[in-house]
Amino acid sequence: MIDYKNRLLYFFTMMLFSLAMYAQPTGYQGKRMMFKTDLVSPLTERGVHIGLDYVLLRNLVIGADFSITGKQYKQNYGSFPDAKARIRDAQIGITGQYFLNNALPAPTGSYVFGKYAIGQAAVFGSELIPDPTDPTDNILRGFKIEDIPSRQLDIGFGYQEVVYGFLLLDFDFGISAASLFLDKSSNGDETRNNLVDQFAAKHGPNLYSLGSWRSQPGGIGLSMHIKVGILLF
Amino acid sequence: MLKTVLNSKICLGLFFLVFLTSCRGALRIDRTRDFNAKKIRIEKMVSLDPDFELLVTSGQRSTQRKYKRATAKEIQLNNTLYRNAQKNGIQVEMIDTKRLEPKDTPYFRDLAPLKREILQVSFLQDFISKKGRTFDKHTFNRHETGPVIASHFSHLAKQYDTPFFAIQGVTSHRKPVKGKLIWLITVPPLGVVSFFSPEVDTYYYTIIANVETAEIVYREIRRVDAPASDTNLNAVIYDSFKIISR
Repeated sequence: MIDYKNRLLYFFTMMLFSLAMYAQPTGYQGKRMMFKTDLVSPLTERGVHIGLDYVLLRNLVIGADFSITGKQYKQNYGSFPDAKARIRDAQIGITGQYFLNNALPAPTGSYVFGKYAIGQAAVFGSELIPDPTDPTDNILRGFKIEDIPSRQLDIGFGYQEVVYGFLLLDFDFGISAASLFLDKSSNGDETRNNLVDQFAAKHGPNLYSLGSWRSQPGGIGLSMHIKVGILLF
Repeated sequence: MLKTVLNSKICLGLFFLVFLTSCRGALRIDRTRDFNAKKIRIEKMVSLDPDFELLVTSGQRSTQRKYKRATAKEIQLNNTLYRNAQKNGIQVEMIDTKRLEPKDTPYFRDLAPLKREILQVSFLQDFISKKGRTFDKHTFNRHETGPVIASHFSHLAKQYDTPFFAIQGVTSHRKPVKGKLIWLITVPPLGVVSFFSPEVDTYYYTIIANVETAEIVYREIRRVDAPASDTNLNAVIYDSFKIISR
């Protein structure tokens, strides 16, 4: 059977490179490859976020992103002290930035962006094991659910500036929507999944989460990144 | 929850649209058919005294706008032009009028009249178009049988070892302070955007004439809604020379 999906992807990729050759993108002083890291992620997500971007067309930049986050969420079990659950999420993604100013070629100026990332998450949480004979002997036990497929979609706008001819300053703000596919995990069970549902509804956006947006855990909300980087070549 | 999410989406959507409309900038290029067909290759050109002009206002509506020629910025512009031309394989010979002396007869006899001629022809060969958007209507509507540069300038090609003479410059216009505090209170998304939107428009222009064929072969004007910083000028001028050198 002919794999039309792969052919279409191949055609689309070739078309982008052909356009890049035709348009002869300028970049900044001829430099088109950039490396960036986010300063907000370590503070809000306990993680790192790095990316490699390339000026493909005059106003279009594409990039690959890699992020590991370890956000913590509070779990409340009455008489027990508050426990903290952690979701470790490692994702790789592709980004596209379209720069809006025709007179100022990418990668400087205002832009709109979109990002789609896929990854694997692991949840480290606590569960209450009740003692039916004596409720004072209830115990809190840690658990771990691994290999949870995760997805995140970001759209928004930003502004990027080059200083001293090589240093990049990038600010972006947008909407993030994340999903954790707990049901596809290899070692999850329904009880634990329901437990994770309670605190993972806000997982995803790094600034403010409005809560879950579909049946799977994972939230929708606002995200902000302040990135610094260098122009490589 | 869904209602909250939807309301937030509407607000964000509005903010997003306003942001898009606030990001302006334009690039208009006019080339002759030969230039487009790559029959003309510019390896060297003479830049006739690049200008750097500032138009400033104090912010109040009633005060007059002040015009000043920024001499220090002109030196910076000359260096930026020279460096970026070199990076694109074009040799630029700068004619700087700030060092003129009475003995510099060739400038007063040949180059100053040529500059006047190029500017006049560039202005007179256009007609007013009623088509297009506002910015398009008044830029580069070249008439096919428009006026040409006087033929007696053709000897300069031999003298300067190139037939290409350019007029380049930057005009930076600082706009009055907008005072959109009322927007911030009444329509927060518009207010936030107005606070972030720059209050400076920078125009960069280039006109290149071929004195052998007596025609203007290339014209370009760019509008960037940002200050004429080193970064912006480098980006714009490099891109301009990249287009010229293709």
